Amino acid sequence: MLWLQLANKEVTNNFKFSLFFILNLGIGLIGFIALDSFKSSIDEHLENNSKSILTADIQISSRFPLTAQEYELSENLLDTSIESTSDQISFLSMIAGPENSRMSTLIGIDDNYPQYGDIILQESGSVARSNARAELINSDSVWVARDLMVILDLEIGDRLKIGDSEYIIADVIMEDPSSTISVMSNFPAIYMGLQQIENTGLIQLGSRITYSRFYKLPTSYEYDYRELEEQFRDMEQEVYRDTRRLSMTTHQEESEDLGEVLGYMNDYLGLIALIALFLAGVGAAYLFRAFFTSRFKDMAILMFLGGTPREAYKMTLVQIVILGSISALIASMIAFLALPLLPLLFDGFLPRGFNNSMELNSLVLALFMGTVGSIICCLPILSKIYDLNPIGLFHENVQPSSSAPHWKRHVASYSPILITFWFLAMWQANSVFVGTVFVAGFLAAIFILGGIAWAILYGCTRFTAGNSITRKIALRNLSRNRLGAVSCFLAIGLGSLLINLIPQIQKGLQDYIAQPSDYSVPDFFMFDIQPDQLDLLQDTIAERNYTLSFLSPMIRARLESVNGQVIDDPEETPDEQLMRRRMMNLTYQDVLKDSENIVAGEPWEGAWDFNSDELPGISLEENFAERMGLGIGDTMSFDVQSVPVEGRIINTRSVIWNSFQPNFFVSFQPGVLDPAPKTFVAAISGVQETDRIALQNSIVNTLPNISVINVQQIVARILDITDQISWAIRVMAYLSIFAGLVVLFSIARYEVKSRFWEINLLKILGANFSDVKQIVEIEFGILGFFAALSGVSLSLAMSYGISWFIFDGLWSFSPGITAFTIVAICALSILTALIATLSVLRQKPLELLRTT
Amino acid sequence: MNKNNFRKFFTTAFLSLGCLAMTPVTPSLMAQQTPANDPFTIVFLGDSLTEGYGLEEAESFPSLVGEKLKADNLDNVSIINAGISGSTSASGLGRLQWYIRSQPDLMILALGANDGLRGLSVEEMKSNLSKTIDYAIANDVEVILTGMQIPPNYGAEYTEAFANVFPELAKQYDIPLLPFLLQDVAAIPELNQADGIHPNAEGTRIVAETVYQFLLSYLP
Repeated sequence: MLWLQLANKEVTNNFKFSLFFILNLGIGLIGFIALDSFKSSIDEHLENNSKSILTADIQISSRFPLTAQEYELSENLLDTSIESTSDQISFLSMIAGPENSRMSTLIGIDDNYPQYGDIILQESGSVARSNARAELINSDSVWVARDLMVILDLEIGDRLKIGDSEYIIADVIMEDPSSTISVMSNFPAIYMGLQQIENTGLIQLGSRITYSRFYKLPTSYEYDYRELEEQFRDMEQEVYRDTRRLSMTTHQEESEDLGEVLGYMNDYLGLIALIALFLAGVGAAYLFRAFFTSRFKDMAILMFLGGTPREAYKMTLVQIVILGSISALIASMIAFLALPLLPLLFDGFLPRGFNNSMELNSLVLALFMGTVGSIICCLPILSKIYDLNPIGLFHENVQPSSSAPHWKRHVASYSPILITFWFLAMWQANSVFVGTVFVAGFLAAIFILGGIAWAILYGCTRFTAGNSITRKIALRNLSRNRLGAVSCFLAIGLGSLLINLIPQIQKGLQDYIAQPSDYSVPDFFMFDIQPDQLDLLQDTIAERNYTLSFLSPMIRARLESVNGQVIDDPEETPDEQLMRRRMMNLTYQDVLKDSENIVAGEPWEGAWDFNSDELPGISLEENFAERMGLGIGDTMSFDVQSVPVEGRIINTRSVIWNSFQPNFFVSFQPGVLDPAPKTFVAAISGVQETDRIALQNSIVNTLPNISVINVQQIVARILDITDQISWAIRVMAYLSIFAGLVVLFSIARYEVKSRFWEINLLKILGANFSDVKQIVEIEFGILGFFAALSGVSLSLAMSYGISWFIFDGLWSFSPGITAFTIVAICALSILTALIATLSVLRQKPLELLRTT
Repeated sequence: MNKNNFRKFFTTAFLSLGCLAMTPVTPSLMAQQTPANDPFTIVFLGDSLTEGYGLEEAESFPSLVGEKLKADNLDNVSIINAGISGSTSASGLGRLQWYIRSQPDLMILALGANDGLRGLSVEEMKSNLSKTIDYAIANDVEVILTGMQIPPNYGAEYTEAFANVFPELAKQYDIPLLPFLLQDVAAIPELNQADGIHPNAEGTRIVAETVYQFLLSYLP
């Protein structure tokens, strides 16, 4: 066990050095652990949010009373223990007040509802923390939504006739998590006990009732909700053949509005964690490289005394494992202590309900990174031990022999890095494709940066003429020591690339998910506006000093054929068939809305000429076009209420859906659909809180057929969540930049240390402090500037590529961040180099000679 | 003219069917046969029930009625399915103005279900349907009104007031009334889609048969 003793001795003898390593690597790992914990925490936060909207993990519902067999089948499918269940009966009914009546949603609940989230009542407050629910289900009382109280002019304590019975209004519902489930469920809620709802006498043969059971499952239970839904559908088909009686809703599906945003966020955060991981890897490799370079002499002695390369390997491996494990443990401990402090540091900035506990997965990953990851990253350096010749002891500076190492050993030492990185990339990005592209992109970046570095350093030789000796020495140093300078350039360039990549993607993503400030968020959406009602509607709204916005015609049509071919795919699933059979909503418009942008093709000019030989123009939303496999020049034929209308796709457009403006997948050139039967959709924005109910009532009373949907609550909830995601992305980007800068510091420091001999020589030859300082400044200034410039330029190209692959082309250039990154990296390179040089400069040359 | 065409069509139909023995057709009607190149156009103005929500277009009840007529060798009939999911009675007049260009001879008016399901004012629905019928009559389009009912959970008062609108209008305009479009289909799980309100393919076949039989029985 000689190697074990030696390894231990190495670590303890080089305590200062080991400590420095541990701290450096630890800081890199802390960044990674923090990022990973944040990611998990935000995932959990959003998951809880979607659960509170559904009030459960899974809901099974039917238009008919659920049978024992249906419960059994559904529960068998879940394949887990069930924590609790809650049953519910709901239906619509016309509820009359003293003056008028209003369609309402009656909801019968049991004492387990809601299993997630909370209902907030005016008098009793939180339902979860009061006994209001027990009182409700044990008496003939009801809770009534605030809107309905105002509309029907009701007070707490009033009696309300529902069906055959009368109920006392016990409380007013102020907040109801399930109210955001559907934009169309605009009928205010009345809650009562399950038994009481049956007593209304409204549940009869022919009544349209929804019977539901909500399931709360153990938090450890993980499932793929799409797969579960598929199994559920198969099970239902087996039991009921072609009749669909049951429906299953998972909480993930419930938050489908946010699905796209969540998907992007997860991919993005996965990417940040990966970049942090890679930075830590680069940092670890550099740190160990520095360590082993300084230990080559000791290893040569070991081998001179009869040790084999195998023993040298064992010794170094143990050192790596010890250092790596200590780093990982320290990093984890710091992260463990620091994370709970975050709410204190960022009070008011952290999103509501944010759980900042550290994940076990992050700890395991950190330990893996610290030990196995360190070994993998250091393999190329370790492989040099085989080239170490004891004869080197008689040389001034012990280095492995310069004979070209065997190519197989090169492949063997670099392959694990590549393979590990590749696997981690696929894991973090949740996609083989994205992970592979990501890794391929990095390899390409390394080659490109290497090429640029070589060209720049070659160019340095041409600028060595002139009077300034310091400039001459600096440029010649770069040119002569090209291999070392290229490696430094690569490291700084790659670091710059990674550092700039994150904010670059972040900006595009944030622009997408954050509510654009120049769009006015509507308070009401209105559907089913008849053309002859427009004037009256506008007058009604104008009476309260509001105006209609985003007025858009909506024409129902059925897609008949594409490029003359009738759409008929025998491979279609029943759901796809249903989708296709559904009528589509078309619109026509002169100009694009500010939430739309043409991404391919040309806009149309004016209205379509009826006498033209050309087909009228069609504009498709880009994702819809992709799903349908359609592009510019394709023709689409619609049956517009028995009149065939054909058009040619002349452009595709992107739509910022969270602008909350009425947008359509298919838009026609004006002049074609204008005379077709249509309704209008419109919005009203900027409505004062105090005016909301009065304005809604005034529209409904004047034009009762118009559906007025109060979207303010839904919009506010979605914006709240997107704000939280934006926050998380921003914070993670800064954290990652910090981790990157720490690694960059290590890289620059190592590079300066490797110039130790050169600096020393200059001092011996009589160079003064300012000369050496200037040489270092020029050298690292050039390296830092060009490496940062190249890295940042590459990061722009890569971020564009990543945005295109993952984020559907959401990319925007942020010149401020880019300029800052270049200047900061350049300055940091010079500063780090100077700090590292300072200790050498302060010593007398003789002392330096003695040291060596 | 169109009123006559309406009679002409059915006269032609029953002559072709050889149903003379069963259906009394007056000599005056027989004398007004529609020329073979002038199709008899029926427009079904309705909502998702007419559109055939969740079904293929060919499975919708207007298409099936057309098929039944064709199966009886009545090729000279043109069916227009003017059903739009989610539409309320308020859209009736505007949409009829569009279809009037096709010079329909008969309109089967099947609107109102969405008014009921959305809890809209019964008076408003009656007024909208009246305007649509007025416009049809003014343009010589015969009208058959189909009655609608809404589920009992909407409350006795509202469901009763709603259901009464259709016989009242039929009486007011002296037009034929098919009492309930979803007769023998509503509230039967096996005949409806998962939403419990839209007939499935089998349910729609029954609806088509109900409408078809009514057309037959309506003839003198």
